[in-house]
Amino acid sequence: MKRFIRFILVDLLMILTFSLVSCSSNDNLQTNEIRIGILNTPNDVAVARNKNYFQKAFPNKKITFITFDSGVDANKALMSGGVDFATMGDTNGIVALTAGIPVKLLWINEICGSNECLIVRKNSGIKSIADLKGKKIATPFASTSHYSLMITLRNAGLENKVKLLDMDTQNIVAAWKRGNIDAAYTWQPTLSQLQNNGQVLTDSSDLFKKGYSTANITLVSKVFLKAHPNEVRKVVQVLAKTHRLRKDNYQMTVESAAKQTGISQSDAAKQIKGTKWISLNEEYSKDYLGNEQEPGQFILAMQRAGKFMYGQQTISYAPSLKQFQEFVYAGGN
Amino acid sequence: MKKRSLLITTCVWIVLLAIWFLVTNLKLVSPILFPSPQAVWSTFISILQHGYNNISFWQHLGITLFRLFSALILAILTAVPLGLASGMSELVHSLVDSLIQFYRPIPPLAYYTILILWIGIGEGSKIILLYLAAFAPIYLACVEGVKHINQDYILSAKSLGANKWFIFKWVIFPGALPDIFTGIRTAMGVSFSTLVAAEMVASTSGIGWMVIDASKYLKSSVMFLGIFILGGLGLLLDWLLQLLEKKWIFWKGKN
Repeated sequence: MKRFIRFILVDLLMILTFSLVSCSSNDNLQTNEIRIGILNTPNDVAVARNKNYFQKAFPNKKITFITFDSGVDANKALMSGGVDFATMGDTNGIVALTAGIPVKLLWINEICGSNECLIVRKNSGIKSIADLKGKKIATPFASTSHYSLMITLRNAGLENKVKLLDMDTQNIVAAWKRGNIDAAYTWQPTLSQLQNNGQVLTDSSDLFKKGYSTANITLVSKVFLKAHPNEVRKVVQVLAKTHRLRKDNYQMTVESAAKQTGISQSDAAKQIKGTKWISLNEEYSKDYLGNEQEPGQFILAMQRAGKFMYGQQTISYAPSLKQFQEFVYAGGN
Repeated sequence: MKKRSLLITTCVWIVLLAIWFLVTNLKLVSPILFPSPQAVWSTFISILQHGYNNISFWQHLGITLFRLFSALILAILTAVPLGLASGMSELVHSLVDSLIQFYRPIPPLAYYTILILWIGIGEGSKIILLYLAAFAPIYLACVEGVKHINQDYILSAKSLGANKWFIFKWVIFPGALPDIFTGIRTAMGVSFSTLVAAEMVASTSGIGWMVIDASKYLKSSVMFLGIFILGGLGLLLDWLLQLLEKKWIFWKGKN
């Protein structure tokens, strides 16, 4: 019995040291490194990387970019303190808020439009959204596309009347080629691989007009924000610079984005054309993120999305407008 | 002695549960990383009552068991005859053994994407994946089982005038049965641990899928619950197989 008690004590000690180690590793911010989680899409971050904007803004820092397939993995990295910034769909941002990850919404990278589509197979006989009844539709769950698909189905009264399949983008291409799925809601560059024998039924710009906007956003960890508020401001400036570049020199923006992500220029052009990059002034205006006094339109749309996701039982509660307002990074101006 | 080890085992569980309860209720760790036992319990009750993602808990459990047992039964039906044949005949052994030895160490996830391309995203590819995981351990156990049989038994039966079929039925098969059972138990363990991987792609039901889906929304209490259910289910199934083994192979361990 004595030995047994000693064994328990050793166990307790190990658990204690382990938890201490894991706590301290979270606080241990390497001040000389900025870790940014990115999506492999031709967005503003890709342009900034290709044009070396980050290096110019932070000459004495090491910038590490970590690519994630979706916001799902980016959230896990933010939670464990593996990255300081991460770009993801706004639905993943809502998940981060409800899960209590210590982050703030810093930036809207792009408003989704025709770069995210509901596409159906040409020979499937589906001519309208109503024809989707009983069909197999694939989408990456928890993504902006998933949310857009659910809203489209709800508006058509088809909730629970289709077979939804959760697949990542590569698996959607494989299943499409095999003919296992009739339709998919997904984004570029996956879309261009489906377009040969596909037909677009609707895209996210249609939903945007109806007030269901989706976007890719960048979150910043609160720990980093508290320790390096100036660096965070500089990151905003870097991203704003790419949005100005797109306005002034569209061709160069497309070229840089294509080069950085390794896709053809025509594919990059197709994808960038479908998205909207808003200016620095617009970002924190009442049309988008808003401020502490007045919530922006985009924040209101995010709150509606939160309510919808709660109704779908995908998140544990629907955050209030106040919680969303507090979620937004203040001091962008 | 047995009583004492049982006591220690129970104590370990109680102590771990108490630590879990204390650490989470004193808010020493973030609730997303480590949900409290009460949170996991209330998640369990809520999933029992309302299901998960509009599918009831029993349907999730049922589809998972269906996939597991279809694969296992298929593996037993094919691997046992092939393994026994391979153990008895040099010809069969040289025909199939190298192939099985080659695919055996490959992690199932490595060829899962190919299986999906070949067979599609339905139940077929999931069951085949689990089947392939279960096949090799049973096959190997059968080969070993036949090889371990005391040659004197076979020779004695032959000298008493038994024909080939008779020897197989009364000497080789019963002799290899303990090994076959060990093989089946190993196979169940292996395919059970492949289960989450099998339910990872293009699925919308099953306990493994529940864990994967919950991780996408960072619902850690559901993830914990799923892991507990999988662990408990694994123990239960292994215990059932042990019971069957004791009942059918009463001579195991006695010479």
